[in-house]
Amino acid sequence: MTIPFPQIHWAYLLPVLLVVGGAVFVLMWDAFFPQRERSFLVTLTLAVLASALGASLAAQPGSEAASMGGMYLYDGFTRFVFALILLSSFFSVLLSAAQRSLEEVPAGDYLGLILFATSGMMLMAATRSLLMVFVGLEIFSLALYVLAGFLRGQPEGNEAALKYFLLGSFASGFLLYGMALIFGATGSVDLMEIAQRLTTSPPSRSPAFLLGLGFVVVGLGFKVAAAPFYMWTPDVYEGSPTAVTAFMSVGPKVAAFAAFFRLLLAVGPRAGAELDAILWVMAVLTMTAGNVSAIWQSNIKRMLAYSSIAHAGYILVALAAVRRGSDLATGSFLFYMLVYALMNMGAFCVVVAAGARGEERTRIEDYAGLGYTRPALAAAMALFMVSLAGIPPTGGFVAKFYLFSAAVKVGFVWLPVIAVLNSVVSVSYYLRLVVLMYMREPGEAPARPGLLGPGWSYALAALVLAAAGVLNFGIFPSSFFELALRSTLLLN
Amino acid sequence: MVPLTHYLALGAILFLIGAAGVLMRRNAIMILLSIELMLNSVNITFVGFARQWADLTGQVFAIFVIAVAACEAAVGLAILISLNRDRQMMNVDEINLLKW
Repeated sequence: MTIPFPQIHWAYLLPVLLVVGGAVFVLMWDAFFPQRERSFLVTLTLAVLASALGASLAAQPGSEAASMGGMYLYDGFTRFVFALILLSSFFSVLLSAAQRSLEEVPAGDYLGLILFATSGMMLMAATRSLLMVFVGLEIFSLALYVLAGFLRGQPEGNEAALKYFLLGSFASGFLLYGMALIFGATGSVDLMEIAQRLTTSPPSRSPAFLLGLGFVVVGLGFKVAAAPFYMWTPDVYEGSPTAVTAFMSVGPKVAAFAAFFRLLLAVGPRAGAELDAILWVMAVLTMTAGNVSAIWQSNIKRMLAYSSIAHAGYILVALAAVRRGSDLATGSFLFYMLVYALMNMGAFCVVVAAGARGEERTRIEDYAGLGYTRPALAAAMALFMVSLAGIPPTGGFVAKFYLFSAAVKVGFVWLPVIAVLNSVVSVSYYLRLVVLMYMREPGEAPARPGLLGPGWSYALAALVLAAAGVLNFGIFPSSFFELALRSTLLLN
Repeated sequence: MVPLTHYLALGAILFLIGAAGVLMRRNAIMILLSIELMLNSVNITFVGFARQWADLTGQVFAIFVIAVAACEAAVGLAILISLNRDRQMMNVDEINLLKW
């Protein structure tokens, strides 16, 4: 028996190969040369991520998008999502280098895990096979479980890791059972074949298929922290090291939402109105629960956790529109994720930069008077808060505008209205922080900028990059939005 | 010959036992075992369907699940050991530093 060698487009595969190769190299380097300086490995990791980004931007997706029988799919959507994932990893490496409490950890292990997680996210987003969705999801989840508890001396970190691990594996069980049922109902794990079989011999009404789809939605809903599966988010975000929290709030969401989009694009139009109702309810519950809970938080990481839940709710609005076959919604989703990545990373970067060795500034009260003690940092935080709230002239406003108008165009009325009302509610807690920074006297002795330590240049780079992006997308959004729209052209 | 429904029923029952175990057990190790039970019920379901469709994909999927379950057990036990060194306990109800 001969086994045919699958067709492989190496140029398309290069971004993933670079990241995986970089991960192994970083891990091995630290094992063989442990006495080398940490900054060398940080620079190397940043270079790996930048070159992977360059490779994915250079590889123009052509007509032969699928290689290895659909296991790996390189189209415009993949390209944009790769850029998003690599960007968020780049930011989180910058933040990790800036965070004082991460200075003592073994850099090779830590950075290697970040790179492995990145590769898992990329694989999950760039496939139409449910098998690869599962494998990619587990690659990044396992890396993130470890990263959440990386500061082993901290009981909170251990607790966050355990909670994330137990609930994450529980959700994986549901996802897998759903995939098994979908395989049973359609006889395939390839989304394109599943879509074909749904049209030719419609098992789409069969209970096994609908149940399977429901389980898969539960599993993915857990990963994107959608209601009612978001309970783990605030605890895990609070307990993990801040740089890891920043990574968790963007990267896994991009990857899981990308897989969710591919699933809905394939089976959505044929799965019927039940899915419509489920997505509608999930979107409303997620954004309302996120925004209402965020108001009462006294810890800034918990507040940002609930804020990220609310943003997942806004993106679910786009998902509901995609199920109705809107290309505009997919483009708006990509653009929204781009802006969200920048403003969320920026906000976490301020949290990292405001902290000092041994004492992180995680209580919201700690930010009182920051406008007087650290004016530049406070100004950056104010910009990110305004953008997260969706107030012009920032990227957050434009992204929300595109997203909600895409939902209006496919006939949703109440969903965008509820989303806009939710944004109004969210202004209260975002601006509370701004008010606290500028209208209150600093409570304690002002922290000197020197406390930031040797990592300040990384923090500065991340802050400048994020702030410039948020402003740029707010004032000149059109070219990037068109890029996002063009990225959806080759889908299906 | 064992019909497909037997495999599916066994898979579904094991999955429910596993899910109930995760929700009701309070010992972290028992929760971990319940999760493994859920993953293995998925394997039985996959293999049953693979035979029904005469398609090896389902069996390949099951092998991937087994591999991932092994990795998950390794990471999970490592986290548990780290937590146990810290606080000498295994009961998830006592893990309450962060608001649950």
